[in-house]
Amino acid sequence: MQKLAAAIQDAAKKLLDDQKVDLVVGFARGSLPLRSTPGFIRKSCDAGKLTWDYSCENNLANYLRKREGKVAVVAKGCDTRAIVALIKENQINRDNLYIIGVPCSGMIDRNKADELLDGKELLEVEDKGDTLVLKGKGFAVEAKLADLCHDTCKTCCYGTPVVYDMLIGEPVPAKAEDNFDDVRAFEAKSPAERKKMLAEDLSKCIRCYACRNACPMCYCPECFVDCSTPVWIEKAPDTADNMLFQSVRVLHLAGRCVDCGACDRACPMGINLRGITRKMVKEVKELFGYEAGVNMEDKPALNEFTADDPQPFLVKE
Amino acid sequence: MKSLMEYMGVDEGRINFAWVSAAEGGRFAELVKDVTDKVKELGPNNGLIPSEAGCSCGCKN
Amino acid sequence: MIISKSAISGLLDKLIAEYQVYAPVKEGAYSLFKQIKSGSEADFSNKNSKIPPKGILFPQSEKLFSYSVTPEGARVDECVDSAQKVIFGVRPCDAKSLLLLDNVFKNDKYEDPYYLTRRANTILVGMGCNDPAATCFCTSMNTGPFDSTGMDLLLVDTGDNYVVEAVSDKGRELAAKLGLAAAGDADNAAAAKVKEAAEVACQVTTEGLKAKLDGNFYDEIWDRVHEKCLGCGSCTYSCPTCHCFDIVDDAVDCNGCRIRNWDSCMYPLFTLHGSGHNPRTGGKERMRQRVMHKFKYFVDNFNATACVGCGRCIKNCPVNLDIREVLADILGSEARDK
Repeated sequence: MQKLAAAIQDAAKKLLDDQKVDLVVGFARGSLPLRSTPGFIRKSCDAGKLTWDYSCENNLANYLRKREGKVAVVAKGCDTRAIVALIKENQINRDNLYIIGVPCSGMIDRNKADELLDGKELLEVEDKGDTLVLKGKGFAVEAKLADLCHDTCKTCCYGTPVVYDMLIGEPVPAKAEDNFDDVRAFEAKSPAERKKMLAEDLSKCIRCYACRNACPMCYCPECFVDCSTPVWIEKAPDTADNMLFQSVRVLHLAGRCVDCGACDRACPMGINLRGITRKMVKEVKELFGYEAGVNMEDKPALNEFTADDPQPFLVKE
Repeated sequence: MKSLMEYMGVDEGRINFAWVSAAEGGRFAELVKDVTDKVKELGPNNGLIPSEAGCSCGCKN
Repeated sequence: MIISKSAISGLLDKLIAEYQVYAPVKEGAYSLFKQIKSGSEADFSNKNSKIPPKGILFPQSEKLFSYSVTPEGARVDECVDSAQKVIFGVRPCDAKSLLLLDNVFKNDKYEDPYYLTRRANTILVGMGCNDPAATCFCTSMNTGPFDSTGMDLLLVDTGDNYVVEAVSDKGRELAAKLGLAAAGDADNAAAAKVKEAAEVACQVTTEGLKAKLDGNFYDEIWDRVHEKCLGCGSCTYSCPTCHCFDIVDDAVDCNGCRIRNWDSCMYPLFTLHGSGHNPRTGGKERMRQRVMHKFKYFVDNFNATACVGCGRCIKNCPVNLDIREVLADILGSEARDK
C-alpha cells in the first residue's frame, strides 16, 4: 500500500512539474480511522499529501464532469467505469483527462467495522496485511480484510482499471463473473415481503440526497425531486415518497449505473441502496448483454436500437 | 421499469407496455380492454406502500 | 439523588404512563432518539445518537395548520402539539443546542408557537458523557461532557448507578414525583470523580475566528474548502443547531395544509428564486454560507456560535469533509480581502 502511495505521489509530482496537468484529483489522508478523503493537488510540492489504502472508497469520477483545463485522476476500477460512462455521455473530455489507474482488490466498509464493534468507537487501525486490528479504548478486534470489504467490492469483476494512461501496481487477478445472487435471493421473496423489507429500510431515509450527489452518473441540472411544478414527491421523508425517489433514481440509472456502490457508501443511515440499483444492472445485462462503462467501444444500451432487441416488458398478445 | 416496479413490490401485471401504431385503432382498443380487465381482476392498487396517512386533505401529515 | 441502573427501565415505564417519552433506541450499530412504548427499548450504550433529538421539538416535517374553503367561509385548524414530553438521555451538546435554537424561534421579531409550545412542555433529562468520542469538540464550543446548561436533570453514570443532579425547578419537580432516593456522600464523590476523569481530547481553536470571518467573505480560501463537498444535506440534517426550513402548501381543491420541512443551505434549491436566478451559484457560496452562518452571522445576531461540537457532521460526511479542518484552514489562511 505504501509503495503504491509513493508511486502515486511520484506520478502526480511529475505530471504537475511537466505541466501536463493543472490538477490531480486523488485521495488524501482522512481525519478518522478507516477514512480517506478526496484531495485536490495543484502544486507538485503538495503531491506528498496523496495516499492510497483500503479506505479510498469514494468515486472520484464525480469530480471530473465538465472540468476546465487538464486534470489527472487517481482511479480504481469502479472510478474508471464511471469515467468511461461519462465520456460516452459527453460529460468528460478524454483528451483533457490523464488517468492514473490503480488496481483495487476492495475497499473497507466502515459500517461493517461499526457493526463488528457494536457501536464502540474505533480509534486506531493496525494493518497486518490480510487482517486489520481494530482498536479502541479497552478493546482490540482482529478482522479479515475480506470480511470488512464493501459488498460491492465482493461482486466487482473490474478491480483493475478498464482504461488508464498509467497503471500503478499489479492488475488484480480475474474473478468469477458476478451472478447476482443477492438480487436473485430478493426476487425469490414474495411481492409483499419485498415491499415490506424495502419500506422498512427506506423508512430510515432522511432525504439528505447523499446517494444522489455521491453518484457519478447523477448529474441532471434539475433533479425531479427538486421540481415544484409539478411536485413529483413531497419534501417530507415519507416512506412511500422515499420509495418513489429511489425507484425513479434507479430507473434514471438504467443502463448507466456502473455498480460502484457510491450511493450505498454515502448513505449516513446505512440503507441498502445497492439492493435496488443492482436489479437494474442485472436486468440490462441479461436483456441487452450490456454492462455500463466496461469498455470504450460498446454503445450504451439506451442509445442503441436493433430490430431484435428483446421486449419481454411488452404486453403479450 | 416493469421489472423494477415488480421487484419493489408492485403487483405483477399492474404495469403494462405495448407498441401500437397510430393506424391500429382496433388493436389499441383491444389492448386497453385486456389491460382494464386484468387490472379489474387485480383489484384496487395500494401503491408502493400505503402512505403514512392521516390528514383529510391527503397530504400524508 | 440516585437511581440504580437496574431501575431505569421501570422508571421509564412510569414516565411513559404520563408523558411521551423519547430515548435513544438501538438501530443496528447506531442509535436514534425515538418515542418509546416500554422502558426496555431504551439503550444508552452508544456515545450519541446518529441524528440529534432536535427533531422532537422541531420535526423534519410538521403540519402547521390545515385549511378548507367552503361556501360559509374559510376554516383554519392550527396543529399545535402540546403533549407533555420527556427526552431521556440527552447529551450536554444537544441540550445546549436547544438553547441556541430558542434564539431563533423566540426573539423580539418572532415567536414560533409550534416549537415553543413543544419546548415548554418538554422535560430534558440529560446524560453526562463519561467517555467522549474522538470527534467530540464540545469543550471548544462553550459546553462540555457534564455541562448541565439547558437540562432539567443531569444523570452521571457511576457504574451501577446514575447520580442525578437537579438543574431546574422542572427537574426538581420531576425528581420529587418519581421519588428518587437521596445519594450518599460516596455516590456524590464517585460522580465527581467520573466528571473529573472525562476528557475531551479534541480541541478546536476558535480564537480570532469571528474576526477572521468578519473580513474574509471574498477570500480565496472559499475556493478551496468546498472543493470535495458533494452538496448533500447529511451535515445539516445531522446538525443539532441547523434550523433552516422551507414552508409548502399541500392542497387538493379547497382543502389543504401548510407544512414546514427542514431545508439545507447545501442544496441549490435553497436559494433558487422564482425567476430562475440563484444568488448562491455554486458549492463555494453554499459552503461559505454554512460556515458563516454558524460562526459569524449567528454570533452577530445572538452572541453565540451555532455549533456545539457534537462531531456528527464529521462522522456522517460521505467524503470526510471535516469542519475542524475547515476552521483551522480558515484561521490559518492569510487575510487577503479583495
